[in-house]
Amino acid sequence: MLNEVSFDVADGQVIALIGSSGAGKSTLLRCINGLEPFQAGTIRLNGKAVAGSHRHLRELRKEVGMVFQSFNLFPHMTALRNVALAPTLVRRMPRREAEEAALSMLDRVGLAAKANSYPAQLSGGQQQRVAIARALAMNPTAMLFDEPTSALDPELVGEVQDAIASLAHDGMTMLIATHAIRFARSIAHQVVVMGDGAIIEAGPPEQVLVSPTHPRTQALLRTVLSGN
Amino acid sequence: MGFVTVLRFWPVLWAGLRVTLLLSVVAIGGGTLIGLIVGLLLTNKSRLVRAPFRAYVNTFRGTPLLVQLFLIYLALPRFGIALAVLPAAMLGFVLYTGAYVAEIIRSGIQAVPTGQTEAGYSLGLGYLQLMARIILPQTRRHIVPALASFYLSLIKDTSLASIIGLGELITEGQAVIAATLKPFQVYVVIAAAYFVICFPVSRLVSWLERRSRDRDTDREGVEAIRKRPRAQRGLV
Repeated sequence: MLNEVSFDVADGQVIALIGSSGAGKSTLLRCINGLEPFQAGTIRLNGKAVAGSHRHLRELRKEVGMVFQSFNLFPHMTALRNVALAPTLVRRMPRREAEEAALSMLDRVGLAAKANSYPAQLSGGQQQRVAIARALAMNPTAMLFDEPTSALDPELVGEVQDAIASLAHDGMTMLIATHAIRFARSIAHQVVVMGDGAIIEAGPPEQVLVSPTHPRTQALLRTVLSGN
Repeated sequence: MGFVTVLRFWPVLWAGLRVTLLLSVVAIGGGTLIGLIVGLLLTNKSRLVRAPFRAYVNTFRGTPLLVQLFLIYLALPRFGIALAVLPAAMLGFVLYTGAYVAEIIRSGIQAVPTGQTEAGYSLGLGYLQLMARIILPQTRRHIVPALASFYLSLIKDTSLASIIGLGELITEGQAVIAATLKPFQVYVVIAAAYFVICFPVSRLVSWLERRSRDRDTDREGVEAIRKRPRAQRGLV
């Protein structure tokens, strides 16, 4: 699926991945998190290769937070338990301590008041913010966002984008696959345009999103911007 | 009516009932444990891993329990494994139960969206943590009713063990019929005995189902409905 995809992400950088559906954005993010096996090439996180045993992949995943298009909150747990679960199970944090930390994570995305709500009682935007808090609770060195606002009603997109923007402001290293061009432009240090599993164009947003050189980028921006 | 005569033989029936209960408990306990493990293995990505367990499940689901009991009791001695009647019945019922439970567990697991697995792994959970804390709890609503109706038929199907001569409720009942010549009364007592075992099981299950529905669905919604006057609930 992916071919000729090569780039570096410096610490604290925000990279936006754009491209039409099926361009390989999600596949790339899933490869980085070890959810999708890949046949050739290397991915390094903090210098450690993403490959090898389940145990090794598990170690790497603790360092990388992932936020999914469809939130994937655990429906049988409250927001607080969703956030506190991995620190207790994976980091062996005492439950009380993990729940206190979880509450401050929920507070960070503005949802401390919803700690005891179940996912079904939350709006899509709130669910996605809980999902962000859940990933943050593992104290990751980088965050991956797989189209975090694509499944949301338009009026809920803003609150999720604001939560992501505040992470960027705090210096979190992030890779964001998105169709929201304006958002990408406002938040990313680098924009990577993908098509058919390859990188078409990459560079700072002012360059790639304002005066793209590649005809496919130009076509993509025309369709996406007219759609907004 | 002759019930008094029959009930004088209650100790005989009670001995049979105890064997029925023992066989049911062993079949449900052992079979559920096997079924859980095999069910998890049936969701393994590798076809090679799945193949032997798939073969086991298909064999025991695709042949009559009666024949399985005969084969275990009669054919195993040819391979040097001679089992007494009770262990043979237990082995047969445990294997039979394991195959059905495995299939119920597998279908429950596969009904949980794959996003749940990905979310769990992305947080660094291991396989067993993922299953125990994320996936299996979500299968409960799917699995509990299916297991319950299987367990209920299983308890009644233990009567098939009478075919290899196990002294369970039916076998002992037939002895009482021979002694009293009152088949109608004996079978009424036997029916009542099965009912007394099965009915609490089905009540327990509907309680579990109600509880998991209340927990999983919109809790505020459920409580709001409860606070409404009865007439407005549509349950008058």
